[in-house]
Amino acid sequence: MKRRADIMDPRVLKAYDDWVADHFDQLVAKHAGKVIAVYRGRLIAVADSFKEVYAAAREQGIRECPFAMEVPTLQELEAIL
Amino acid sequence: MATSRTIVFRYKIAGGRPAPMVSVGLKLGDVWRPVEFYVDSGAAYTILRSKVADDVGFHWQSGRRILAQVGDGGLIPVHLHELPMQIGAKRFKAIVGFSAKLGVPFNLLGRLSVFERFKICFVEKRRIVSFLPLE
Repeated sequence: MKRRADIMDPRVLKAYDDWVADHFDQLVAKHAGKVIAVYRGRLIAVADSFKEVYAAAREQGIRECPFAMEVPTLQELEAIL
Repeated sequence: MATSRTIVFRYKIAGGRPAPMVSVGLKLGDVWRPVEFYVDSGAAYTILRSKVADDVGFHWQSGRRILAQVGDGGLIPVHLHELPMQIGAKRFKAIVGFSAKLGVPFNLLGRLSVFERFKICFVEKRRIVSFLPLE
């Protein structure tokens, strides 16, 4: 049985961060208040909970844990001190 | 001064509002998860909204309970855990809190366990935040 890696590939983390930086404006415009999931540079799910987007990833045959985040609203971003 | 070891994150910008948000690895249970945090030098603790923990079956309420003061002077319950965290290629154990009462829509990356391991530089003009691992 393959041993589960005890570290994330830093290139994967960087790729997720870059994807969010490239798409954050669109995410807030289209999906504010939702939970989104991204895998390998592709938006794979939009739902109301983390449970739902992780389930959607599994249904698509994705075995790794995708990136998932709650998308804030523009008002919430503007309200940060 | 930036070096090859420096991890540089672009600010996330929506509606012209830049936010120093970063993707960090966090091990919840047996699974490493990429999690988005708002870097908050004014926060003593790293705190996650409990929603993600609830949804993945992580028993966040089993952690030591403290009360943390928030912006309006009120106190919110936070449950602390020691969890593996990864920023760039640097992995370490971090004290991470969970709260169902966090009044902001972000997870907060605070000072404890994190700022002592990196030299963190906010460059507003370039809209980046950099993390230089310290020895």
